[in-house]
Amino acid sequence: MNQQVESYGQVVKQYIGNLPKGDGDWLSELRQKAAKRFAGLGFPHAKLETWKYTGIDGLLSQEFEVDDTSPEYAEHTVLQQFLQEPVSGRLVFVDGVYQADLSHCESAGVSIGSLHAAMVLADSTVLKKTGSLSGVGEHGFAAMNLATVHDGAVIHIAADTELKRPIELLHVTTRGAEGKALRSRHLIVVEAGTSANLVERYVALDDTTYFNNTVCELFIEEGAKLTHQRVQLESTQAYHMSDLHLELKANAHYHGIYAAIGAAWSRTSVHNRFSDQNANCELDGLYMADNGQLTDFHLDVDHAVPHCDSRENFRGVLHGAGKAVFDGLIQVREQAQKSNANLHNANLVLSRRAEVDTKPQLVILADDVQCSHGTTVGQLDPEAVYYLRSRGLSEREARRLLCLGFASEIIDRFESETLRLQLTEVIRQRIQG
Amino acid sequence: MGLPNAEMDDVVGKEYAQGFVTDIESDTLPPGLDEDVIRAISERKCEPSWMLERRLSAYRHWLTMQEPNWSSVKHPSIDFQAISYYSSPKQRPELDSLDQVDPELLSTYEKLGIPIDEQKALAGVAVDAVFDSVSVATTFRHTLAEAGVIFCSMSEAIREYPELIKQYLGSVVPYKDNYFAALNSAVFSDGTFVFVPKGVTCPMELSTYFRINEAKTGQFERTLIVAEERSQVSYLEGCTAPMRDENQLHAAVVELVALEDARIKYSTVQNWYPGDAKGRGGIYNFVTKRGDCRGDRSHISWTQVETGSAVTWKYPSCILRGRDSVGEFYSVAVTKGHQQADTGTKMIHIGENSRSTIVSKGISAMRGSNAYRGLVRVAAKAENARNHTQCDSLLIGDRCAAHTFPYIEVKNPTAQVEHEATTSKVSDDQLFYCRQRGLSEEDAVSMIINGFCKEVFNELPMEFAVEAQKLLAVSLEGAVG
Amino acid sequence: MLTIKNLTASVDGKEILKGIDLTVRAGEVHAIMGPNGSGKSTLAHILSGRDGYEVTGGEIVYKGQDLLSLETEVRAQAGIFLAMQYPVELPGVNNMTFLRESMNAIRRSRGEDEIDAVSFMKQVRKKAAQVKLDPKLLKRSVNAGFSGGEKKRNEILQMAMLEPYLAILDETDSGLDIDALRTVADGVNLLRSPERSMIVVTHYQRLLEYIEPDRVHVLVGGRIIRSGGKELALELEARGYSWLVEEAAA
Repeated sequence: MNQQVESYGQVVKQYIGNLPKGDGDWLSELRQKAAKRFAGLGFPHAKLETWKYTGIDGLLSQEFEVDDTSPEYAEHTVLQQFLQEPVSGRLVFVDGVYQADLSHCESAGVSIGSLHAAMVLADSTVLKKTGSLSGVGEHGFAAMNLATVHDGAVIHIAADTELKRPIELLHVTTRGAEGKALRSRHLIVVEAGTSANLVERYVALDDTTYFNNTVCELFIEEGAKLTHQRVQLESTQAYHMSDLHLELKANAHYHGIYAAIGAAWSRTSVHNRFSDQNANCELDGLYMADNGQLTDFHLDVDHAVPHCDSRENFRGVLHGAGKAVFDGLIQVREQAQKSNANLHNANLVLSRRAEVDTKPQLVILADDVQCSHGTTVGQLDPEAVYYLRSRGLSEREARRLLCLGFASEIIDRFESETLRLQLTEVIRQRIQG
Repeated sequence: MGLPNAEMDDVVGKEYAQGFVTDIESDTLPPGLDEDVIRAISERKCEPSWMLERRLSAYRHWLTMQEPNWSSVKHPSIDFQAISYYSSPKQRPELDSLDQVDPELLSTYEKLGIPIDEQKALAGVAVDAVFDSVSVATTFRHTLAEAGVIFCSMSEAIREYPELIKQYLGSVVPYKDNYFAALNSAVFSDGTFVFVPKGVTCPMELSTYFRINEAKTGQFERTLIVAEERSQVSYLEGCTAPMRDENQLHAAVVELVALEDARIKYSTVQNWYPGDAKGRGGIYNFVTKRGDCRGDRSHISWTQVETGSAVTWKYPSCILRGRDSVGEFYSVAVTKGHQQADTGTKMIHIGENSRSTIVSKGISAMRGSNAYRGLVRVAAKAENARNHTQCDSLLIGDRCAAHTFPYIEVKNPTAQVEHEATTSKVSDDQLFYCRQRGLSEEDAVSMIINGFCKEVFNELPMEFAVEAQKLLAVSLEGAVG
Repeated sequence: MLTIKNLTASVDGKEILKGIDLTVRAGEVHAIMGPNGSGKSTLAHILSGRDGYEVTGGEIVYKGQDLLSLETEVRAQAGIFLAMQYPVELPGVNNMTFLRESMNAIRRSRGEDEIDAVSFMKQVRKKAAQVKLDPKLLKRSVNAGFSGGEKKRNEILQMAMLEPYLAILDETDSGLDIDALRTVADGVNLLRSPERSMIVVTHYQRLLEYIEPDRVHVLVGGRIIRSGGKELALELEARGYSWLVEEAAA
């Protein structure tokens, strides 16, 4: 499917325009709908409220190809470093393609597989769920994802399962990803009464340029509890777009802890829908943007039913000529009485060239609610820097320490010590002081 | 979003019917808008040709624009050809007696303690010289003239002070700014001009209250206040009941210019007709208000209490150009019935050490919908800019809505911006506590709401703070319980 | 002053009070003790007319009238005062303004003139000093940002100003250190008079060392299972509640 064309924008248009019609694969009906949707929407642009601050010109001008040939990677040994942590199950994707030989799952009640396999088997359960939360796509990239999806994870955790160790979703990119547009969709179902921990990691072995466009649908059934630790450490040249769609049933509890550190351009949107009462959603996020980086977090927490709680806490560190965009929408619908929602966003601006555009939003249509949000944009406290210097630290050290302190409010939320240490180390290296 | 035509006529046209069908006198223009209408307005106001040219440029630009649809308010689209763009006070529909006035309106006036004659004047019943606006204005004009302050109608200013008008009018809100500003620049009927020269502290609070009759002339008012170096002025607009008006569309423009060390305080108490209980009628209030802190250490403060209008769309803003300049926005917006308000402010930090404060209190009752929409922008050059924003929403009843949309854009690393927002209702605990201490439920609610709005009321001149509190109580009557 | 006959009440459909009989005469101080969840606070809130408490049977007669038919504020105007366990914060509502509005509402209901500003100020200052309430707190919003002890003192100040006929103190001792407790108790004792009755609701005997009750009632499981003199409180302190519960069950 190699095509020699000028820009990614054109590639996509051509590719989608030429989707196999009729009796294509098992997803073809959805693919067609999504292609139609994409044709209607086109790529997002600054006139759209949710894309006001997130430019995509750089992305569209890249020369990405839609190429799903299996990757060749000689770095098996290098990969090993990511496979050491004991887990209940692990799914490994290299350059967007599922690696059965590196993936495994021994835990009772957990079944894992790839979306590609589900396509081949025409798994009707998977088909039924696919797109049921995300729709065919609320923006061009999401529609494009569904129209052209190649692979992804399918994880099912049976009812009343208690998992001691996390399930890990590992995405590794290698040199082979250079110039590619990767498209994956993950489908994760946590059945009633189950308590699970999901780790989702994006790491790069090389500094390659690629576009990783993912959509993840998470179903958390009645009384289930999921902790989701998600770390985006893509290559510094990469583009990363992910849409997370959550559905929480009665008494369900979701805790998402996110870090978006890598990629030249990244956007993570989280859509949470409470579909029944007494559910609880907690989101913690950390983002960093350095020279030439744009990091964007979009939250859409929809209190559609009464008696649900949500809490969102996002922190950003901006340095170099980094740019951060934060948009946190909390909606409380008419019937959603007794909703509690609290969002906080804090931004630390360390450099003259950095930029922050932040927009928390409250849309409240019920009266018996407790909702609040707060945003700050500021710098390190000079008093604190002075204090540390007076205790013998260099200014650089002092600033680094204070930045880490600022970020640690989120880092400490990660349950995995390995992730905590890794993130702390990455941030320590990134902060120039 | 449009309504069927018949209904549309009902909403927009009806109230004008009596005024226009019969007996069109020389100074009332028939509904409709084209270049001839604009020429006619300009001619009737005896304007110089440069002013007409400005109007025409604005009109031609307006034709190329589209009505904005980004705010959270919903209303039937406006038929701009159904509106009359020039109508003198005499041509307002005249009623013979108070019996013909909406009794709801009268009881509101009574509760506000407005005497019967004033009520007549406000409701548009012919009444002889209750407000001798000419003599009132003349008296104060003398005092003001001694201080060197110019305070006159915009029409007069265009004739008498063309140089000042040429220099400042449209310098803060250019006609290209937005749809309604362009329309206003083309057709504005009248308004107020204030000029405070260097070093002068205006000896009294200035208010449209003194010029009540003139203020009623326009759906499209134009206000310009210029405060020269080291001068100070406080201006009050609207002031409770006097601003009752039956016009459907209001698209006013207010421009403030503060030069070095100047200080302008602009207070509004807006109580336009909100429509009836079913949400029919009522004013569409689309206002562009902007202050330019042009000089170093200049200071512009907006305070508003918005209880009226069916639809309010206004964002009194400050461009903080001068070093150490200060912008403030204090707002109470109440919506009940079917009222909708989309209001807030923009603080554009350009100058070093510029500071801004935003305090917004939204109260939504019944089916009212209230949105705060604000922008705090810190430009790359604005060293040490500071902003603090507090937006609180109070909900009364389960059919109402409160939204908060703050936009924060920071391009300077020395900026400190803080935004906080809360949404809550008058809690049962608070009500019980007050009632347990002997207060009636109504008094308890009113006390809690006044407490909620206190920070904003504190910014109003004393006598208006009292009126604003009363107005709030009246506005929310029947909304609680 | 107050007669409660066979009062039953429920909250959210759950029966909390299962037949309370209690008579309080003018000038008397009654203590109601009992373990957590026994219905003490429910009784206090029913006396002051809080929504959400459903009286399912029985009657309450206060100064000759049927109390249950009266609105909360009418009860307050008739002289019932509830010092709350968790006093409510009223942001932006000035403490003194609130107190004055309350006083005047009560005075108006009795056909009395409103209090003039000067005598009001004099009284507030004097009484605030008696309950050792920092005068600065008078200028702040009602209870907003007050410490636990300050809130309780503020309650007693309100009580002193409003001069009720029947004062109900709901767990006024909770969260207070010994000095604060003594101050609050002194404030209460100053208000004891032959025309004024008090109902002191408490979990611990501690408060009763400072406010000496005429009668002590033990409320367990929605019923008064024992009444006696102040010595009953001491016995409870020494032996806890369980023996009484067992005895009642036997």
